[in-house]
Order: sequence, then C-alpha cells, then structure tokens
Amino acid sequence: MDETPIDFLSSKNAFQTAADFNASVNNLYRLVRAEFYTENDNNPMEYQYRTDIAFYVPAAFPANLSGEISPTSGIMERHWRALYKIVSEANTIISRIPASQLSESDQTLFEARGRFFRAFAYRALAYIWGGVPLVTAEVTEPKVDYVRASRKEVYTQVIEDLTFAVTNLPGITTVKLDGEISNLAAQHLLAEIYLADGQFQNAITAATAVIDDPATDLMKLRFGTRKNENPGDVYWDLFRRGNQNRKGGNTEAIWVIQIEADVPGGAATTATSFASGDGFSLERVHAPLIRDLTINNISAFRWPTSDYTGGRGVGFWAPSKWFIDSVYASDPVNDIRNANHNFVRKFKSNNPASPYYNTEIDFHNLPAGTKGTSGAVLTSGVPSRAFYPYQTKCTDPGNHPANLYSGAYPMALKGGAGFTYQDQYLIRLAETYLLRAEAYLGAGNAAAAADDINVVRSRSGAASITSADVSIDYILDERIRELGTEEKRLLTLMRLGKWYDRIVKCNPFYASAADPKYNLWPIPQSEIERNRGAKLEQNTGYQ
Amino acid sequence: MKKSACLKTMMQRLVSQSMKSGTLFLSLIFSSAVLFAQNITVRGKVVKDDDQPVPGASVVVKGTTSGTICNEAGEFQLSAPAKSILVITATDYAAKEVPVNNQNTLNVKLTTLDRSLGEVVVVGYGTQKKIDVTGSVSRVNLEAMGNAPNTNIGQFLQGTVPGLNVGLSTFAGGTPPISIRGQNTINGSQNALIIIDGVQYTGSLSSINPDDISSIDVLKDASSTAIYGAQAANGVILITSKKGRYNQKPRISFSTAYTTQNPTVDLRPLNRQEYLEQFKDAFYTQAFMGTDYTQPNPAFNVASVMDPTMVNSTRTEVLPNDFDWWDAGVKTGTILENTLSFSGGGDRVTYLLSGGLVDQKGYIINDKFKRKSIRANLEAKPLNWWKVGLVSSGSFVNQDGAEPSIGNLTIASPVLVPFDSTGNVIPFPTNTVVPNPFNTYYVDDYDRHQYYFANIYSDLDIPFIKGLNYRINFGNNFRTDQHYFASRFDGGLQGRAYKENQTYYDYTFDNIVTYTRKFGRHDITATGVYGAIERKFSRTFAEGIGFTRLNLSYNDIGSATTKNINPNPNNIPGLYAWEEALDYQMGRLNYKFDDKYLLTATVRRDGFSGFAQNYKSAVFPTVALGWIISSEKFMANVNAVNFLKLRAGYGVSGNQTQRYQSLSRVTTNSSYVFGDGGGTAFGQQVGSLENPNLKWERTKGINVGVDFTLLKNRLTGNLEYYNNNTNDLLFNVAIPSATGFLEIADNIGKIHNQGFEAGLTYKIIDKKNFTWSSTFNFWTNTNEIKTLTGVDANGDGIEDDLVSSGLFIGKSIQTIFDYKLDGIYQLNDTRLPGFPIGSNRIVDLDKNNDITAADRMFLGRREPAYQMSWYNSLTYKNITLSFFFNSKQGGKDGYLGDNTREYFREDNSVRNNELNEVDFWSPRNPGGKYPRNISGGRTKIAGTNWESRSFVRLQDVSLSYSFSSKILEKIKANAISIYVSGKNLATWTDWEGWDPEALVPVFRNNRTIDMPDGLLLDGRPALRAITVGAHITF
Repeated sequence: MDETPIDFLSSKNAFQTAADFNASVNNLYRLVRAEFYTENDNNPMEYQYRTDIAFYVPAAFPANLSGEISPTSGIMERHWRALYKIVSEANTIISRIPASQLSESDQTLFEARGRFFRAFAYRALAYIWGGVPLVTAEVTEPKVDYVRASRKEVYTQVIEDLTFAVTNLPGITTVKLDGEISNLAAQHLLAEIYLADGQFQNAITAATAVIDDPATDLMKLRFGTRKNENPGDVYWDLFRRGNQNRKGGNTEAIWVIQIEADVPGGAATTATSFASGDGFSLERVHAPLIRDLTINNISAFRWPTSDYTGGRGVGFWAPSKWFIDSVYASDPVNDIRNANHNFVRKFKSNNPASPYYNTEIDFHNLPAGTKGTSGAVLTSGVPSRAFYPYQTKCTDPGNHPANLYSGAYPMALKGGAGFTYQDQYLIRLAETYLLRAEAYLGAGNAAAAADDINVVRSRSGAASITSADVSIDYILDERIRELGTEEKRLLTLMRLGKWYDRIVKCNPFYASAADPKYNLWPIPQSEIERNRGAKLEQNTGYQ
Repeated sequence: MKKSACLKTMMQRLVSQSMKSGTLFLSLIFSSAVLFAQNITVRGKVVKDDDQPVPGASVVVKGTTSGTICNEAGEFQLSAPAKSILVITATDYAAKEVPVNNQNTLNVKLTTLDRSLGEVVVVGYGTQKKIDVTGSVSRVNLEAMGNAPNTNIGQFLQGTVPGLNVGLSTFAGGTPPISIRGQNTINGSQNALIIIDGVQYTGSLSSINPDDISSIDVLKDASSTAIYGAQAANGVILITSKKGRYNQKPRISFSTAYTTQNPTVDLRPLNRQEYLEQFKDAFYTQAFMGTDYTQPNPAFNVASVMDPTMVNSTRTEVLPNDFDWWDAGVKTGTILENTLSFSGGGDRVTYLLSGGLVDQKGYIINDKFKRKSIRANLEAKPLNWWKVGLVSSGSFVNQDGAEPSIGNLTIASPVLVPFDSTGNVIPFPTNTVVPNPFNTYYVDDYDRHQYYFANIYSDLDIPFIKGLNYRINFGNNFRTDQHYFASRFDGGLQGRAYKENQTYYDYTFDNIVTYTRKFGRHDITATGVYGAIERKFSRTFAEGIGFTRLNLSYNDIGSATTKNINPNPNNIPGLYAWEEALDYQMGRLNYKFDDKYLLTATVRRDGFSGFAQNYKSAVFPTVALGWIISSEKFMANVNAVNFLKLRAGYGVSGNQTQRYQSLSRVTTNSSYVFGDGGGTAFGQQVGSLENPNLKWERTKGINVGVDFTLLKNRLTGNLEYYNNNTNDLLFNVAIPSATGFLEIADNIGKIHNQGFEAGLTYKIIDKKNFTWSSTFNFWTNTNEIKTLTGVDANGDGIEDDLVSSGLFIGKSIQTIFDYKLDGIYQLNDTRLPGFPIGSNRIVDLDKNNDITAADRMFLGRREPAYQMSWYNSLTYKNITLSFFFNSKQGGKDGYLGDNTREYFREDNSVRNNELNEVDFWSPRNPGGKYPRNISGGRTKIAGTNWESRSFVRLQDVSLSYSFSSKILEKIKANAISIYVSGKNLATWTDWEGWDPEALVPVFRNNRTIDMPDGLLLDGRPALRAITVGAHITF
C-alpha cells in the first residue's frame, strides 16, 4: 500500500545531488523571467503602467486608480504571490542543503544562488509593500499567522543575503553560462538596497566594485550582429537581437534575462500567439496600433510590418508626454538615445496606396485629416492608441525570426507576431553608474554624482552636466533617458518613495487620481483573509 | 404436460443430470427421502384475492426439488409426503407455505404482491429480495424511459430516483453529472461509485449500450453503501447487464430509432442590422447628443468606429456582407440507433450476444458521437453446483472531427465572411488571433476511445455444506484512447500536430463467500469478501509546431521545427502516469426472524495506496433493522394495508483521498535556455505541501424509511429520512501565499446533511383495457457546515469562517457570499469611486462611500431547495402514452447561478457579436439589466448577477403501439412495438440563456470551470429531440 509517484518527484528525493539543486535554480530563473517579462500581456507591464513614464492608453480618463490599486485588485495579488513563490523556492534550496549529498563547495555555491534569488524577490516586495512577512526557511507545514516585519528588517535580510552572494557567487567571467548570476549582479543589487536603506557609503562601495571590475565597461563603439547597418549607433546596437550576452562581446551587461525562440524553456514562441503568455509582449504592448492611422480616410501604414513602424504593436503602453518630450528638452539633438531610430517619432509610410507613401508622418506635426482608432481625430503631439512615439528596444526592425514573416508584402508579419525576441537586460552597467550617482548625491558629493551621470551621457553624445544640475529628479530623468521601457520603473519610484511626486509632476493621465497612499501598494485582501492566525496589517489609507 | 407426469419428469431430469455430472450418489440420497417416505396424492387449486385462478404457479414440496406447475385453471396434482409442507410461488404473488397434514385436497389463495417488493435487487456482493432490504435502495424504472433517445445511461437517471441528482449534458453522447443526496464533501470526489456486474467501473458511462442494461439499482444510505467502504460516501450505482436464462427458447430482439434534435430556445447572435445598431450603444457618446445621449447624432457614421477589417478602405462604408455564422455552424442534430441481441439457454449454458450501433451527429457541426458496442454474456454449468461465466463487452467510440468553437461562432461579425471569393477559408477574419471557427473543417481530428470489459467468474455451491457459496470475480477494464490532431492554422499558421495516446487498465479480484441458512424461524445470510483492485494509467503526448508542409498530418510530427513531448506547464501530478491499489475485506450478516424482523450488520476494512503515510487503512461499520409490520397478526384485519415495512439504519462510509494528494510533489518543467542557441535547462518546483496525516472523509448517517403498499395494492411508495454528518472533510485549506503555496490538502470540519425523499406510485385506473399509473417523486436536502478549522483567531469567541474559501459556519457549502447589486449606474447618478457610468451599482452596506470586501453579504445558495418529478403511464388496449415532468426548485434563495454579462468596450469587444437576448444597459435603454461600460477602465468590482435556475421541464413524452397477438402470430414474432417520443419538449423557467439545468465547461482565468448554461458567449444549446422507433422480438 506504499505510494510511489511515477511521473513526478517527491520533495523527499528531489534534493540530493547537484543536478537536483541545479534544477531548482533553473526554475528560479524561470520564475523571475515570468514575473518580470513573460507571464502574460499584463503582469510584467504593471511595472511600467501607472508610473511617470507610461500610461495604459485604452483606459478611461481620469485613471481608475482606486479600482486598480485596491486590496481586492487582482494586480496586487498576482505580484505578491509570484514574488513569494520565488522566496519559497529559494528557501527550499537553502534549507535542503545540509541534508543533501552536495560537496562543500557546491553547498556554498547553491546557498549563494538561493540567497541571491531570495534577496531579489524580497527587494521587490519591500519596495512595493514596505514591510512584509519575512520567511527565511522552507515551509513544510501550514502556517497562517504571519505578521509583517518592518521594511528596515526586510532590507537588512536582503543585505545579508546579497553580501553572502557577493562573497560566494562566481565572477562575471567565470560563470559557465550566459545569463547566469554573478557576484557583480549581487553587488549591483546590494548597491541599490543600500541606497534604499540610506547607507550611501556602502552603496558607493558596492557600485564601485561593479564599475571598477576589469571585465565591465560601457559599450562605446558599434558592435554586434548589425553593427554595419545605418541608421544605427552603439545605443541601438545594445538592443539588437543576439547582442546582449557577453559571448557577443557585450561588456555592459551584468545580468541578462535569456529569451530563445522556439526552444522549450526559451519563453519565446513564434508559433502560438501572444495570448499564450509564452513570450515577452513588449513589442505588442508598447508599439502603437499604427494599423488604425488614416490620413483622409486612407491607411498610411500596412500592418504588421517588420520595419520602423513597430512590428505588430497594439498601442497599450504609451509613453507620457514627459518621457516623449520633457526629458530630452535640454539636448534633443546630440543625445543618440533620442535619435529617431532609437525613439521613433517620425514614421515612414509604408502603404503604396497612400498618397503619403515613403514620406514621414511626424507625431509632432500631423498632416490634416489624420485619424486614429475608432475614427478619432488625432492632434499633433498627443499620444493616442494609433500613434505615439515608441522605443525600438521593444522590437528589432527588419530582424524578426524568419517564421514570423507572412510573405504578403515585403517585411509583412503574421498576425501572431508581437513578442520581443531579444534577450533582456535586467541589470546593465549604465544603471550601476546611475545608482552610484544617487549614492554620491545622498552622501553629499554632487560633483562625483555628476561625473557618473556624465559617463552615461557622454557615451550617448549628450552634453555634460555640472554638479549644480544634479538632483534626485534629475537622476530619475536620466534613468528615463537611459533605461526607458527597460527598467522596472515602479520599483525605482517606490524604492525612493517618489511615486506620488513623480506622477503629479510628470503624468497628467494619473495625476488627478493620484494619492500619496499609492507610494505603497495595499496588501492583497485575500492574503489578509488567508492569514487567519494573525492580523496582517494593511498599509495606511487602504481598507 | 399431464399433471401426473410432472413429478416423474422432474425426477427423471434430476437423475439424468446427476448421472451426467457424476453426482448420482448425492442425488440418490437426496431424492430417496421423497421416494421412500409415505406419500399421498394431493390435488388442489391456486387462486388469487378475487378467486380467479393463478395459472403457472409453482407447487414444490418444501426442502426438495420435487413439485409441479399449475395448469390454465390453476389446478395441480402431485405426490407428497403426508407430513410435508408445500411451497406455492408465482410471479407477482407472495409466496405461501401450506402444510399437507394428510389432506388430499388443498386450495390455496395467494396474495398479490406489489411488484417492486417482489423484486430482487442488487445490494452489492449479492442480491436481496426487496422486501428484505433494510437500507435505502432504489431501482430505476428503465421501462419508463425506454423510448427516450438516451444514448448515455446517465440520461436514464435524470429525475427518476428520489435523492439522485442528475444534470443535463449538451454534448453528443455526453455523460451528465450524477450525485446522490446532499453534498457531503467540499473538495473530495462528488461522484457516485459505479459498479457494473459486480466490478467497479471507472470508465465513461458513454461506453455502455443502454439496451444491454437489465437493471440499475441505487444505494443511497450509509448502511447500504458502507459495504463499499472508503469509496461509497457519495452513493453507489449498481448496473446489471442482461443475460440469457436457462431453458429459455432463443430470443432475437431488434430495436431501431431515429431522432432529430434542435435547441430548446431561440437564442442566436445578432444579425447584421442588429449588430450595426448596437455600435450606437457601444459608442453612445458619439452616436448620440445631448446630456442624456438620446438624440441621434446625424454626423455619426458607424463605419468610423468599426474595425478596419469590416469597413472599406476609406472607412466610410461598412462592408456589404450579412453572413449568418451561427446558421452555418449548426444543423439539425440526428441520432440513429440500432441494436440487435440474441439470448437463450439450455440445460447447461446460457448466452446473450448483442451488438449496438449509435450514430449521433450533434447540433453543432462536427459534435459527433459514434459507438459500436458488442456484448457476450455467457454462463455454463459444468456441474450442478458449479457455474462459470463471462460477462464481457467491447465498445468502440468514434468522436472524430473538431467542432467549430461555439464562442467564435457567436462573436463572429456578420459583416465578415468566412471564405474568400475563391472559396478558401480566411483563417483569421479580423486579422487578430481569433480564428475563423470554420478552420476546424480543414483540420484532421482523430478521436477514438476503446473500452473492453470482461468479468470471469466462478460460482460454487459447495457440496456437502448446504447454503455455502463461494464466488470469484475477476473483472478487467481496459481502455485505450487516441486523440490525434493536425491543423495548418495552428502554431501561428505554421502548422501544429499532436498525438495523444492513453491506456488505462484495472482489475478487480473478489472472493465472496456466502452462507445462507434457514432453521426454524431464523433466516441467515452471511457474506464475506476479500478483494483487491489495481489501476494503472499511462499517457503520452507528442506535439510538433512549425511544419513546412503537413501532407502527412499527425503522422509526421518529427518533421516539425519545435517538438514538445509530455509538457506539463501546470505541474499537474499524475498527468502522464499513475497507479494505485486497494485491498479490502468485508463481512455482512443478514438475519431475518419470523419473516418479520430484519437485521443487517456489516463491517468493511479498506486499504488504499493513496491514503497518507500515517493512515493507510480504514474501517467502516454499519447496522440496520427492519420490521415488516404488515406480517404481524394485529395487521391481519387491516385491509387497507397490503404491505408495510419500517426500517432504520446507521452506517459509516468514506470518501477516499485522491492519489498523491498527501505528498509533497516536486514537478519538473522546461525552465530556461542559457545563452544564444542553447538547449533547454530543465527545472523542478515544489508544488504542494506534504500532509502525512491526511485521511479519508467519514460520513456517519442514519436513515429511516418506510415502504408500503396500500389500498388493494393500488398505492405503493416509500418515504425516507436521512441525517448524515461528514467529518474530516478533505479540503484544500487556503493558506497565506507567503508560504509559497496557496493551499494544503487537509481534513477539516464537519458537514451536516439531512433530507427527505418520497416516491409514490398510484394506479389511478386499473381496468382490463385501460390503465393509468402515476408516479410522483419528491426530494429535498439541507446542507450545513457545522465546523471548519475550529480556530478562533480573531478572538471574538466564535469559530472563524474560511472567507477566502467561501465557507461559512452555519451556512450551506454552496452559499453565496458576494456583493449585492442594485441596478446600473445611470448617466447622472452619483457614483462611488472606481465605478464608471453603466457599471453595476453595488450596495454600500457599511455606507462608507467605498465598495470594499466589507460590503459582501449572503445572497443565497447555489444548490436547489427541492426536486420533483412526475411520471405517468397510460395504456389503452395496445396504445401506451407516457410523460415525465422533472423539476428543480430553489425556493426563496436557492438554486442561484452566475449569469453575469458585461459589455466592456475595448479593442477586442468592439469586433465581437453578441447574443440577441442580452439586455445591456445604454442611455437609450436605461432599464437594461446588464452593465455596459465604455469608459475604458475596469470597474473596481464588477459584481455578479446571481439568478434563479428553478425550472419545470416536460422532459420525456412517449407514445407507443404494441401489435396485437393476432398479427404477431402471423409473422411469428413475439412482440412488436412502434413509438414516437419527445425529449425536453418544454421548459418553464425565469433563467435567461440556453438552459437552467445544464452546465458547460468554459475556460476562464487559465482553467476550465463549469458554468450554468446562461447567456454565456460560449454556452451550448440544450436540445429538444423527437424520436421514432420500433422494438421487435422474435
């Protein structure tokens, strides 16, 4: 009558060898990628919607923030659960090490990996919700009486875990596989969490370890798979397919999320549609629904097309006016990050049936008679679903996987296109500079902060700034310029407690509905109800 | 046969059989008592109540096999010992024993028995006379539904037995949901245990040819079901197949029927004109003017707001098409059924061979069901005391063909067409990922299921020990399933193909010892069972995506660019292989004293591999008592009562855990691909928390019943009351996700079910040429959660509810705790934050001007309050008319179903068509019932429309004509009847949509759930059927 499962393992026999532990670690990479990139069309984008850089175009105005950021909202619940699942799987790895057959060196290595991922998840939990229940060991029996630790206590735990990871993870050149975590990835995160905790000097030290590592450097010359193509520049090269991993010569990447088309586990299928959730929908969500743009009732664009019109965009994720115009106002021309091939504002008509064929339709200067979705008349410079500037990071013009071309006309894509197929930077050295700049600013050294910001700016040809220019808002703007659509903006704003200020300042779409309480999200109501053994205190202002 | 020849013939036969079988010696001893005792000749007449003769009654000398049969005048003559007792039996009459007492003339009057009480019913590991049964056992009236177009025996059960809850399936050949009495589990299995010819059946009821079934008995109370122990808490359905009989002349039986089917309601998608009109509501801020948006805006052109695929290139004109997608995807459904059987038997062998053919084409094109079924039931008697037999069947089900998605048929725009001008299918008419429903016409779909069943048994009446029987059942179920599929439209038009193969095998090995003995006024039957079951399942799924050509369809998966083998993205344990085993012992004692007092006591022990580590076996005891009051002397003069029995039983039965449920499961997945051009890195994830103390659920129940026959056998019926408490409920208790898990399988709480059941049959008219019999059934159940976790965490002195699981102490399991709706927010209403115009207005219970979790309340229950059915059968000469009503009622706030619909304007919904009967709100339809939200923002809390599903249905009507014996003699037939019948002819209900009773599987939030068949876009029609058919027997 003994029960032996035959198509799965039991936790009793699943944590013995290094191969077993590797399988658990592989799954952690999967969980991180799912939560921040590939789970579906919406969840990963929640890190951008309702921030200073983006808004969800089809939604009502004013935004329904009280409905979307509420204890009963599914949005809170999904992220809370996904992040705690990462914590839980990491805890299982750490807790199972002592009873395993791992060698001593493997024991340390797997503990470092487990702690890295645990810290990674707790960092997001603490930024979004403040203090959260701190679970640091595998849960083997039901527990329903969690209480919240303070945000500070969570930060302390993250610092401890990352410190262990920094010491025990391999260096960026010694990791065996592209996409693996290294001690530099841990250092970068450590710098960030020190910042959150107000330990500026420690943040400087950690960031410096990344910046000064001989294996890292900003990419300053053209490189990679499309380095001979024009228009193009080094910033453009950073985001082309095949250029993210170190094996491709990239020294700027610190941690790259791996996406591989049509291989099980690659999270990028060319076969099923975006709706399957098996891919990163940034192209689909961020590129405008150019299909709907007509001039004098004639479509100016054939859609979907693998050119600078954005592939198969559906126009959900529009940049705020702040992102489109304000942040580049000081130096719109020299900054290559603002070049039309990196941030497309002028779209060349590709429909031979249109009188505008081969001419550029300028977002800021629309021809008369331009209409968008549902026949709405468009106004120059005002984002609409059918037309707004987008960043070419979200796609790879002219270079979609071969399976996606329909052959209907040159560069025509199939209706199932819409995923982004290149690997994604989760950590890039340019951000480390900006973190250190933040740390210097916090430590009262504005000059050093300006220097770090200028390193990033000069790579893109942007004019240098002086220490007088440096402020936390300036750094946030620089992050938009450098990391727009790439960073998980919500985490940055909530880490700094700047969500409300920035919304009010930069994003009128949400400003009238904004409330300082949204600087932290509410604990999901379902979690409060599930935790029936103790009271999980709700954040201020929510009920 | 001459009367005097009777005994002689019998004796000769006995001797000859004994000689053949080598038991001559035994027979000699046995019969010598008869031959050499002092015999006298006895003559007599057997009559019934009204002194009319009973021809064919059997008269046997008690304790022997010598006897005779009465002639047409009811007369008999035999030679019997002067001090012996004669036993007189006849079908439909109570057996009578008459002492000879040296008399030469004996006249006997027999009392008519209610047929149902004379019946022998199957009670599990044996049979019992209905009058001796102490538990709650009901026999399904198969005759009543014999002419209905039921291709699945589940449909026979719908409404026919009090306490048996059967739903309605909308799929061709589909099995409806079946449960018995109230819900006594939350997460455990709710399925009744099904036993076919003594062997547990885990396959689909759709594999069984209803024409092969001789009887269906339902065990309802714990004292009856407990003999099946840990699997029996949801009741037991015992199905017995037809068999040949010894010394029966060959019988050839042929049945044929043809059925047509159409929906019961006139629900359809909007036509072109209606579709274009509703755009004005979807864009009322543009289509209308004024503050109340009721003045049409002359400048509004519907083409300007429609999808580019539906308008001309200048967006000024709507495409001229008016295509009826629904009509193109459906047609009148048909069912053709033919069955043929041969049965009979000689002295030593009986046989039944049958074949059946069902060809059902459902209302939705390609919803097809074809079944070929064969059966061979054979029994041989190599020795007089030893029978060996085979009960076997094979069933071959073909469900080839992919039906068009109903949801996609419903939402397809009438302005678009499925085929281009050259006749080629347009795979994605809206240029989105929503496929053309007719793509399915061009895919290869091979969907087959083969079922094999064989029970080989040996049945020994042990010589030397009178009354001792030893039976062995070795039952085998084997099933194979193939689902092969290839579509060039799938895989983003790159083509996709898969092959899915499953095999399932189980065996049941039962050793059953029965000892029956009667001494004096004591009547004992003792049964012992020792048995084991093993089950094994295996499945392989191989898929290819990305084909340069699909010429070889699913047989060339290897040439795909991406291949998936046994993927398990949802980490479901046992998806690809599982096995489980049971062993069990059961002892039962049936004791009857003086033919009046009955006792049944049983005990069963179950071991199951799926039980958790610390609880590997379970014991289930029962005891039940019966009292046949009508046999008491003091009842002899109560003429109004023909039969009256009171019975009461107590028992414990179980609901076992699912295999693997108590384990901490670690599932594997394709996790990641490191580097460019790399291969899959496989991963593992812990999927559940272990619970080594997980136990089966335990239902303790009492059942009190009364069976009666009154008013000169015109009124028969029974009443049942039961009171069940289920403890240790299997439940996935919600736990904080901070643990990394959402739930743990555990045993919690206690549920109480009590109910009342009544079944009455009255012969309203009982004349020679005209009979009218009417049966009324009524049953009700109340369900209440008594305790849950036993924890009072919030310290208010009352045990806490499991709010996150929707469970509340003192309420029914199916209680609804939700927001109360109060109409729709009109244009100028003051709205609460988060609620746009046109959304549901939710009652702000705590009046804090915000809708929060605190505003939920108890709105009612999902289960019915009571159910009823009414069956009538009228026969005039050769014509029989029967009709059957069925009803489920919710009472004040029961039987509520989710019939939520919302129009939310967004990119996809503006393309979609709608059902014609959904009453959406708009400024020009301020009384509209369902919300229409065109704000672009989701409502903070959308709200659910809970509506009553109560209904009364005229479920079956049948009119049949039996040919007279004159005609039959001419064509040498035994019986011929022809009939016409109708199913689901009328339904009275307030429920809006397809059907109040049916549930349809729909895909929501990444999982399939069953929803009431209301105004869903992916709902399915319930069908009204008309059948013509004939039964012919030679």
